[in-house]
Amino acid sequence: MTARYDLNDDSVFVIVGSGAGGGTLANELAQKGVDVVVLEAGPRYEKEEHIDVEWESFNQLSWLDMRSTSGSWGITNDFPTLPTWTCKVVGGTTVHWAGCSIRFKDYEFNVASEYGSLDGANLLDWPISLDDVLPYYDKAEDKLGVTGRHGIPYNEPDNNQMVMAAGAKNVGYEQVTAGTMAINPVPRDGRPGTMHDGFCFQGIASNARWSTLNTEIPKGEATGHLEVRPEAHVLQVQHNGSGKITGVLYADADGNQHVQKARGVSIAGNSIESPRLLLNSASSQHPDGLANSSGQVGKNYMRHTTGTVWGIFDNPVNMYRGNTMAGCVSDEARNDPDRGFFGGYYFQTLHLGPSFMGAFVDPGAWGRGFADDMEGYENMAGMWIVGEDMPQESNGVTLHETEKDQHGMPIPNVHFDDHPNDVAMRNHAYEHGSAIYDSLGARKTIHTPPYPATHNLGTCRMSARPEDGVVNKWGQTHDVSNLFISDGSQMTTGAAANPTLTITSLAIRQADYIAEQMKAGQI
Amino acid sequence: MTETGSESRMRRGTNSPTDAAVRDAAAQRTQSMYQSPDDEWAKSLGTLSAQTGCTLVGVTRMMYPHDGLGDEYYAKVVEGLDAQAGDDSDLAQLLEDGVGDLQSDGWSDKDEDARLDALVEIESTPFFQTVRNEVVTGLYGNPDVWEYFGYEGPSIAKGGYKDRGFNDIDWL
Repeated sequence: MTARYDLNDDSVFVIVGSGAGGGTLANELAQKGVDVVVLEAGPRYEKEEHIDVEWESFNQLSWLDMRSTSGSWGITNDFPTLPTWTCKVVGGTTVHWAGCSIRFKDYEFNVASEYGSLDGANLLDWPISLDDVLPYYDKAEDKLGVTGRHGIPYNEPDNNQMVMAAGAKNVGYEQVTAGTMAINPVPRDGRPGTMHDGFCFQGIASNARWSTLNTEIPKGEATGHLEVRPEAHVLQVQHNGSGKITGVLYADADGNQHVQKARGVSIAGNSIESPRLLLNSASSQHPDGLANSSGQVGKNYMRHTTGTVWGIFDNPVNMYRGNTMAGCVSDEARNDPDRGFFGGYYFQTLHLGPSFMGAFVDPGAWGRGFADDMEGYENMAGMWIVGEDMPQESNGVTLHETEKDQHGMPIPNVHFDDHPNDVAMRNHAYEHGSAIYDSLGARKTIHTPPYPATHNLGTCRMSARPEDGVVNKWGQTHDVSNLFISDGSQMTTGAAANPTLTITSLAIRQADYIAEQMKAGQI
Repeated sequence: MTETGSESRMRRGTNSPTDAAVRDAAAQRTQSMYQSPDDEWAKSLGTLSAQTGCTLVGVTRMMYPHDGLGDEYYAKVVEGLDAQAGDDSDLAQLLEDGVGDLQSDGWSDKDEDARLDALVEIESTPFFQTVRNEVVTGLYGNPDVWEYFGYEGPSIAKGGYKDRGFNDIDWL
């Protein structure tokens, strides 16, 4: 039974955002009997309302509030108001997600020690190790139903994966699988097996893929301890004279403002919105933004080193028949500075339909050369590159000095420059990705630059010492004991792997800590 | 051929515009119902002038030329612009002025190379970019063109591709 809580009920724990971090934390706390209110900026669309048409789905699900961009990245030119590709709906960006679920590697929690000093990189070791997260990776993989783990079979390879796997084998790669995916191969946990519908990414119309919308949120609501309030856009986190968080100010669907009282608050609004909210919550006690005594709120923004390689062949591939992401090559996911860069990356199959292909394959390009590539659509295979990028203090989120959103809140500006290490890694990946397709006689390979980011990390990073970051090893802010961060912005460094599994694992771990702290009367 | 400079985002194809196949396709399109301001279609536009509408059919085709697609698919993009212009007088003015500038130099009467050069010269203008963006979404997003590109489209209502070829590749 879905709970309903009063605005003045200060016994509730409030979570801002309902995606991988917020939605998972909400269910975990509700299962422990904690009363939770989730405030989600976007509306609630159940899976029956999801649309398997690219632009229609994009317009239904995406976070399209005004944003600005700066820096030397291509996005400033090509998609200046769309730095990220995330969602504004109940379920957050787990509603738009390929499902790839990979654990971070041991060394990826300690890259400052592993890589040493790197000019321009604000590297820091995490205050936790892989061992701290391992039990939670197990729980999260079970929760998500990750293929290839815990006795769950892999999905059957599709056309796009068979092309990548054959080419990868030709060039000597050995770690080639159909991917550890949160997409059911067979019915499990109330969700059906995949129908390889070509659309298991934007929305969950087929319901084969895990999302907080189809799993964590309804399970949490069934406990009677969780209320998810959609179209509740949080503008400010409030505190009292002794420094404790007392509640949040939010705007409802009609723009009316309310204060929801709270015994504690966790922010999980993605790495743009979470620091934006902290910065917009500045007060006399927190003149530079809430929980920002370190000055690190909004800094060290990471978006993974990405890119896409397409191969056009002489014969049909029909890559769209299958799941959007359905395969992985892991051989390059290691730290081997002999390649000319630190950190590693994965190749993961990816397809787009013609609508998105036209918009993203070579943004801004036109003419017969472009059209000729599009004519090769049927014969195309595609793979995405995802690798670790370097945290840089100058990359990040600031409040725009003049532009305001529909609620009068300053819009975020997102600034990004590639680090030379990012560029070296991307070029290596383009070259080796092309080699995979060339080994099969590709007529042509195409290198697509990064899309608006789906992986957004690091703007409220975790640190052992309060002066180095925003939150401690539990995601609790160093400055305020009843304020937490539960999304990817708490990541100290980004690792190579797709972040959702780690965000989910950290949320499960954090729920244990918050419940203990409540029991001990600390929150 | 005008020097386009390193900033141009126009990509030449492997076919030169004078290739026989291209000429044949162009010849076929002279029968098109979308190329003259006297055509019913051009006169049926709600906001844009007939001259602007039919010029835009030629402009949008030149931006993303698919010889196997008839003018009706480009006309559909222009219909989208026309509908938006009905709600947005600034957009209407931008399109009328942009086409007016092109036609003041007799754009429609030039040969293919010269028409392309004229577009390259204006490719960074708001007029060109507005139209180009609309073609990208309006042409490649039109479900009626997907079959041409070999895309079978939404599949969930049909049970996905599980029994319809998700793993049917046979040439590896």
